Amino acid sequence: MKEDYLGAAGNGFGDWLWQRASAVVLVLTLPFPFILVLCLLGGCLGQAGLLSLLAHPFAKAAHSLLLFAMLTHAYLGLKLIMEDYVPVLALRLPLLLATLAVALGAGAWTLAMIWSW
Amino acid sequence: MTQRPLSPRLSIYRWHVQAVASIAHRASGLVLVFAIPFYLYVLSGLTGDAASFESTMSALQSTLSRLLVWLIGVALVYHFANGIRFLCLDMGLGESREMLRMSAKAMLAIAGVAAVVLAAVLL
Repeated sequence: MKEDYLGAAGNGFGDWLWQRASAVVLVLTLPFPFILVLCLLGGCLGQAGLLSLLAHPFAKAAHSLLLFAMLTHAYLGLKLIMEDYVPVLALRLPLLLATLAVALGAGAWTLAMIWSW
Repeated sequence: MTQRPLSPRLSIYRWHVQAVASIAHRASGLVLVFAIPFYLYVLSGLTGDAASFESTMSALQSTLSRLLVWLIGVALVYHFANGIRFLCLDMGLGESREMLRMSAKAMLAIAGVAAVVLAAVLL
């Protein structure tokens, strides 16, 4: 019977470390957009205020870092879930590559948006 | 396909609160993956021209959006809290069986409180 797996990639520890490093970045940065959304919904922040906050160079850098950590964390998390629940390699590999492509595309699109403010 | 049984063998293992906390971390993580395009869509709408800001804000006020924000908020609070718990475990903090049980219950309780508070604020 033909075995349905690739050999060990040897970067499992790297994945593990990136997942945790991105988690630490997210713990530090994610509260800010969460609070901003609540302020917007609560009516204590308008578009002018939002734009002046987001357009600050420091905010742009922090937002870019947040975006990188968020997409890295999401990609590695989805990879882990796929490795556990999609046992068929012919299905898992294209799913994984599609996820990576979407993450890279979303990252490029959002970076262009953040630095256009 | 190999014929080996897939882990986790749910029909064999007894459910315990640490396992619930662990699978809830995955489930909330999956919700948050789908929250990313929602976040980017809202971000782009809110930072566009004044008309797109207004239409995005009114879209956010709809019942469906507020339900979505509630779901994302609860998933975020849980994943955030339990993620810190996992980071602590990686550093060797709270690894005893009693602490694992207690902290798992505490994280689930935090999610419960967040669900109630966010429901009161948003719904």
